[in-house]
Amino acid sequence: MDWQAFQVSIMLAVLTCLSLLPIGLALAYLLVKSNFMGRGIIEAIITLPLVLPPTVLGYFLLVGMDNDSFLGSMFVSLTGQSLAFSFAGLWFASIIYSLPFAVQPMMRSLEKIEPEIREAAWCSGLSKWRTFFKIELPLAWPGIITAMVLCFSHTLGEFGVVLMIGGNIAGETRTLSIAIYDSVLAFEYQQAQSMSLILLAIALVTISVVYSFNRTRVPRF
Amino acid sequence: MKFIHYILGLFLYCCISSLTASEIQIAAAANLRYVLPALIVEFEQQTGHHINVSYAASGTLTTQIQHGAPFDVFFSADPAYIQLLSAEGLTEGEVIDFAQAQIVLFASTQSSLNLDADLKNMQAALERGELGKIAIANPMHAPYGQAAQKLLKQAGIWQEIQPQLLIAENASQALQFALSSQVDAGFVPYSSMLQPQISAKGRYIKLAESLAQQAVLIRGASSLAQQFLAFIQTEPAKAIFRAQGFIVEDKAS
Repeated sequence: MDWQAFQVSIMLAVLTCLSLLPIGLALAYLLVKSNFMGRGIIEAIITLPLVLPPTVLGYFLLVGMDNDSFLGSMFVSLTGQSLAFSFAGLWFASIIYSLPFAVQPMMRSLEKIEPEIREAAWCSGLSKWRTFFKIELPLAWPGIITAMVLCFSHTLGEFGVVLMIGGNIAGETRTLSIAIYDSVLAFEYQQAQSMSLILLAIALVTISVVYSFNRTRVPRF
Repeated sequence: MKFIHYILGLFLYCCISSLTASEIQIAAAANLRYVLPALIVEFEQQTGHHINVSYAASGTLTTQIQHGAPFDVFFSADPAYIQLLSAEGLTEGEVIDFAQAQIVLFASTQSSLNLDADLKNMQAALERGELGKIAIANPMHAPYGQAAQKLLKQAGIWQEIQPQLLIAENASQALQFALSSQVDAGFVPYSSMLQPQISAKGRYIKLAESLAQQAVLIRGASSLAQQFLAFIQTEPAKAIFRAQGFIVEDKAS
């Protein structure tokens, strides 16, 4: 059992979730509330990682995070480290890769809130921000929890993208799923099995959480 | 709030641990999987420094180094990749020839193929239409795949055998494929045949092709990395290479 890989995976999943909470909420809110021309396109771009082969995303990220590229060179000048094949690079990739899993459930739950509720809040003298935090956010809670749980398990299970831009470096970019692949190639089936069981258990628990959470909330609407 | 503290703590821990680490990152060809661990244990005991290894096909590692992967040392199963990196100014110091690796044809116990070094039986089975799948590493980026390709071309069956080929990501995966009951044989590293749990699952024959194994420092490597390269050329290290099926020249260093 590669605990270092486990730590990298958990760290990556937690940081990705924490980053996607504000990013996802902002995007979901904008997409639900506004009705501008390019809305369909923006929504399509956000959903793209869901259907794109991880190798395609991995290729673009690999090229995009190169030290000669705009993003890569900016990161080098800011931190002195290269973005590709680093934990930060994986973090960035995971945010993009898991974006649809955050935005979609958040959008669905924000859409469910009746406009009358928001208007009533405004009539009661609440500002837009206070309405968002006091009224809309609590009502959208199931969607936000679903989004976070999905992001967490999706990031934990990420393989193709990590394989292409991670480089399998211990303690840095060797995640649990990569460590499993590595163990299988090294004929360490015992290791691969215990790590696979851990991922299986986490996946099962998270999916059950999502389902049970959504089921208990349904009668309220 | 407790949760936030925990996350912050984890984050700081990661930052600090990456700052204080005095360790070497090695990029190694997949066929070194069975020999490097023993060398690393020996080196870590001598110096107390930690070494991380990432195994992949030499071509894959070359691409990663070209895109800025933070490796200190590159162990390649093919000199061409080191030349490529040197030409781009990504390496440092001189290239070290540390060993010759051997390639074998391996067949699992379920396979009925008769192994011979000239691949004549393979050709005969192919002509009879009885040849099953043959596993090779990807010749596009794996040196063992290129060696296998060369041998199959010498036998004159490279074109004919195409439909039977099972292309693996690297030499380790080619062995993985070859162990499957659906595969008749595979071109794999000799060093893996010295692992009892693998040799018990089939038979093999050595082939007339060897792969020059080279190592080089990547630009910006630490002095520790240099120390490790010096270490693999010492007598005890050479003995470990030999014990794992590599051919090491005896010239005095």
